[in-house]
Amino acid sequence: MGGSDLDYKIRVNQDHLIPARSGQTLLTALASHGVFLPTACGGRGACGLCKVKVVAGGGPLTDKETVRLGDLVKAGFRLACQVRIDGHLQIELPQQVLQDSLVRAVFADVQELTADTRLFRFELQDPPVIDFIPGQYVRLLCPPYPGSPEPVTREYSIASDPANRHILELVIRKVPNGICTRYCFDYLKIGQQVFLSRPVGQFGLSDRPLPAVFIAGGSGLAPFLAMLYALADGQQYRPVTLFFGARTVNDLYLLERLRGFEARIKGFRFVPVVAQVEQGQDWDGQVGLVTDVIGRLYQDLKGHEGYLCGPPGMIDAALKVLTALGMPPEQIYYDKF
Amino acid sequence: MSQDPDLLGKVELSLRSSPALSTSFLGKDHRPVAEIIAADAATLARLGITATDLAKRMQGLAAIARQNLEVPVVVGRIEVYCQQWKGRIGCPWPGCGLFDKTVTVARHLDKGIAASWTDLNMHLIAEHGFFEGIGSPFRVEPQVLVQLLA
Ligand SMILES: Cc1cc2nc3c(=O)[nH]c(=O)nc-3n(C[C@H](O)[C@H](O)[C@H](O)COP(=O)(O)OP(=O)(O)OC[C@H]3O[C@@H](n4cnc5c(N)ncnc54)[C@H](O)[C@@H]3O)c2cc1C
Ligand code: FES
Ligand SMILES: [Zn+2]
Repeated sequence: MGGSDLDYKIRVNQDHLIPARSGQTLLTALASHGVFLPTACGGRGACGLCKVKVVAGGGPLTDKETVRLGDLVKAGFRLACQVRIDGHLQIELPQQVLQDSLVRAVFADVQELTADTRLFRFELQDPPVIDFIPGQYVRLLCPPYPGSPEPVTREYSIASDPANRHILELVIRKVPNGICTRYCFDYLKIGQQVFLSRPVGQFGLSDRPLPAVFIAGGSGLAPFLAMLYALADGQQYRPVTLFFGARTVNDLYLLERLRGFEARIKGFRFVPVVAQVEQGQDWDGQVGLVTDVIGRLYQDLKGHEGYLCGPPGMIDAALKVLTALGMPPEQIYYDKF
Repeated sequence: MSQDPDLLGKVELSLRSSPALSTSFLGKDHRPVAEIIAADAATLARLGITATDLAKRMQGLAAIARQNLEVPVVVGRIEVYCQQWKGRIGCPWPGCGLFDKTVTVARHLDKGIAASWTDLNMHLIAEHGFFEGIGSPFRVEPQVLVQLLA
């Protein structure tokens, strides 16, 4: 097999042909054509989630694959992030993965929320509308740009109203030197086309209408926004308290929108919390770590559900507080990564 | 810290064969990974500290910063805080697992020295003596860390 950089083909489940570039990983070649394999390690061969059955081709196994895949290697499994394209390939994928296919959208608008966080709005083109369960996330394809010579995908929770089916909004917090966030903040221009996966993920409201405590930190507010829109739409009734924790008043955002939900959702209470009030800042709300404030407002959470989204340190601390207040672990929901 | 040359060769190959990984971990540094590690080990030896001990100090501060969520806290004469994002990232060495996307930022209140490092940096230094290539966006300079933390 030889030829130019672009004439390799990946045959998926016999019937689907995807062009690939020599030297690309199988993971990025697939993602560039709308086949988003799950990943949790940024394509570094450490999570094992991107495994695919390779029927033909694929080159030599790497140590990472031997370590991660164990006996699955004998059944033909490889890690897509470790397979470098150097010829035609034939692979098998679960139908579900193929359905998790590409969404084309246009970057329509952006709103500055804090010094390092923005709300990105995308208008869908193909398909023109989409349904998602509040709490789900999409994978955004970051194309090659001067900050990264290869495309990467990153996950972002959907922050928009599920009833607004032609729009996806994402709350993105910039990471210093981060590949995808740097692209979004410094390179992506309004009107530009972007590619996303269909919404995926298990995080979402249970169907037991127990009173709930939502705990958000930083960009972790995003999935709760989508949930609040759905509650405001009458899709479910349950009393909800949202704790939104930030370092300073300047790190809180969308406060008016969140307070507005108090009028729209019966039984909804919004508790913004800041860890520090800086000199000259006007703040009469809760002060402390968000997890400490929960203990101030509740003595017993046995009959409640807890929903958590935010930095891993906040999730750890919130789990301790909620269980100490009697909330059974099976009533606590968060994305585990 | 003993380095298995075979393993280092494989890590080198895996980093160099991926433009994304080499940009991220090696920057514009064309020296072999083994040479980068050896040069930084020599710097540490000159400064009288091992990579393992340095990493322990970094880990101690990072753990305090993590407990305090993202709020700065003063430990001795060092102010430290962390920033975290959801998602995890893997080490380029096989079998090491995943690390939180966390950056710890530390500033010495008297010396005017500051540095930041990620959870993956701490692992790379502790387990592999690897501070990353010169020009890598995530390289941490051993002498800066020693001045800050020693
Ligand atoms: C289910 C899910 C939902 C998410 N939702 C959101 C959301 O709504 N909003 C949001 O802002 N984010 C969200 N994230 C996080 C997001 O997916 C990305 O992880 C985040 O934006 C960082 O991506 P990046 O490419 O900019 O940074 P990356 O390039 O991935 O770097 C991130 C971090 O990895 C480490 N790192 C990378 N390379 C190196 C290296 N060479 N050496 C040492 N350390 C290194 C550092 O800690 C760095 O800070 C979500 C993640 C998940 C899993
Ligand atoms: S993406 Fe994690 S192992 Fe491939
Ligand atoms: Zn490692």
